[in-house]
Amino acid sequence: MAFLDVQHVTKRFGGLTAVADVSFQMEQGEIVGLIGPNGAGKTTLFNLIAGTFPFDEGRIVFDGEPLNGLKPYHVCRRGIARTFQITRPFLEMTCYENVVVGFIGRDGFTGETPERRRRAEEILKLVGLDEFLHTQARHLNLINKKKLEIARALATRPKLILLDEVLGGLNTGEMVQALDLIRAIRDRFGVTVLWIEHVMGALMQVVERLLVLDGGRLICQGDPQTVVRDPRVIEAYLGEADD
Amino acid sequence: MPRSLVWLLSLGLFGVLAVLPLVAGDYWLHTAILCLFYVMMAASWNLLAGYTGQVSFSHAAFAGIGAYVSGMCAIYFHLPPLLGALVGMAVAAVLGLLLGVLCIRMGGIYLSLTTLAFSEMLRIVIDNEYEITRGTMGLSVPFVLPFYSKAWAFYLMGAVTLGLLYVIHRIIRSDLGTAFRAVQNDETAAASLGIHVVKIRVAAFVISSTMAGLAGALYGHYHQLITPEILSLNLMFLVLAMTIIGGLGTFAGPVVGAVFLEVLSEYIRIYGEFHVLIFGLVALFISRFAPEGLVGLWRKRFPTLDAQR
Repeated sequence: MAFLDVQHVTKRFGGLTAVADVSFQMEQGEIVGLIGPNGAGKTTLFNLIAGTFPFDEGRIVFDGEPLNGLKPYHVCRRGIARTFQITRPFLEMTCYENVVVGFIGRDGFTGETPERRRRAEEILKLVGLDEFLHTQARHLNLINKKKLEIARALATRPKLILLDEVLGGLNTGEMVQALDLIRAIRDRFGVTVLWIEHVMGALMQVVERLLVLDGGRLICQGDPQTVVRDPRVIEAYLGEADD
Repeated sequence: MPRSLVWLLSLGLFGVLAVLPLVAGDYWLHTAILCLFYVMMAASWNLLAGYTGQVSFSHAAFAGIGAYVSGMCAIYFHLPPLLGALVGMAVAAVLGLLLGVLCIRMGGIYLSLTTLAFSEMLRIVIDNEYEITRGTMGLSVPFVLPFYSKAWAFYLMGAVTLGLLYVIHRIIRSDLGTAFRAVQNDETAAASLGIHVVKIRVAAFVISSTMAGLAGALYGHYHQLITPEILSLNLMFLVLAMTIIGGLGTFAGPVVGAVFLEVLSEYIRIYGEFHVLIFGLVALFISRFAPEGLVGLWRKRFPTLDAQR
């Protein structure tokens, strides 16, 4: 049985069908990219998996159990963490406290323990924020805010992490750091990654498989090199060829 | 602030509290007791408004619930006031839970409006059920202690206030406090990290309302007369002004604000009800130009003292 099994999921907002009959599967340990033009329904699909919105039809099974009807905090405790397209760190809290919220959400009110402290510092070091341990998140620049979101998500001990445009707005040097970090998430923590991205060049270096959404439908999936040459994908991005 | 300074300040505060009844006259002792009541009210309201961002207008109503329940326990069931205060607290907690579960999902301005409505409804009921509550005549209740002594009432209220502040401080520094602030900062993000946002909000509302119930009960038994004035919006806005002027979302803010405004209002009492208007205007200006209040201004002036927050 697949690790994440999305079966015929549909979401409508009034008359607009944002996600239409989408089905795909992921295996544990995969890094999968999710691409598509603006408004294709990528973030909506994330929100359906994460429980932000209920979906109208279909089924999502994660790690052997259905996610239907679960609220975001519940989905998180099942082992799915996420980041946001527009970063949402807790601005008035320090980086350390931001990470602690993840521990509290996953493990409940355990109080400050040396073990928790050690793990928080370890995670912040991994993402490269160890020098900002006690800096309030509002003082961080964009790349560091994005790193903090990943750190916070890792604190919830996820089995699957949903990354929503981590590379947007970063310069080339920062992108290299971010790619290393995403590989580390999988290799060091064994976390499966589903990743929305517009920066194709970078995405192609890391992902093992691509899913392509267009107009709410999954139009193509498979090996990245094959997918980007698929006429349906080229058409979705560039419009119909008029030869 | 460095630890030694905190200790020094606390020691000084204890000293002042200990000798105040010996040196102050009746009038200033009374003012000091009122200060303690306002400190309890503002500090517990701050826990809700300043740390979870929920602006509730029913805080004075919960003080009223504590006062009336405790007072009626004393009159109808002959419970000693301190035991009655515990009953008042418990009733405030239960009603806080019910109101919280009903209103808090709405969030934001709707919470403010529904709590405002609740508080006015309760005041009207108490006004009109005069056979039980004595309406606007007020309910005469026994003194908080078995014997009458302002000095001992002061020590009692002082001890309870310190206890309450200690509990609030512990909550702020605990995981619960961290969860409060996470919810206030960004509830969508908090939920995505496994925080049950509604539960956290309701918990803050119940804790805060329970504390208001305790403060109200002690206040009623100190005055020996409980009137619907306790539930009035006057008191609510005074508490709000104290917290905002002192510093919303800071531990010391409501303490500073409550003492400052209560003492100040003794001096401008001759202007009658206008002092509430003035406090309202000052609170408005502070929240626009110095959102962290007096405590925030102090921190800006002496940033070196503020190594930890």
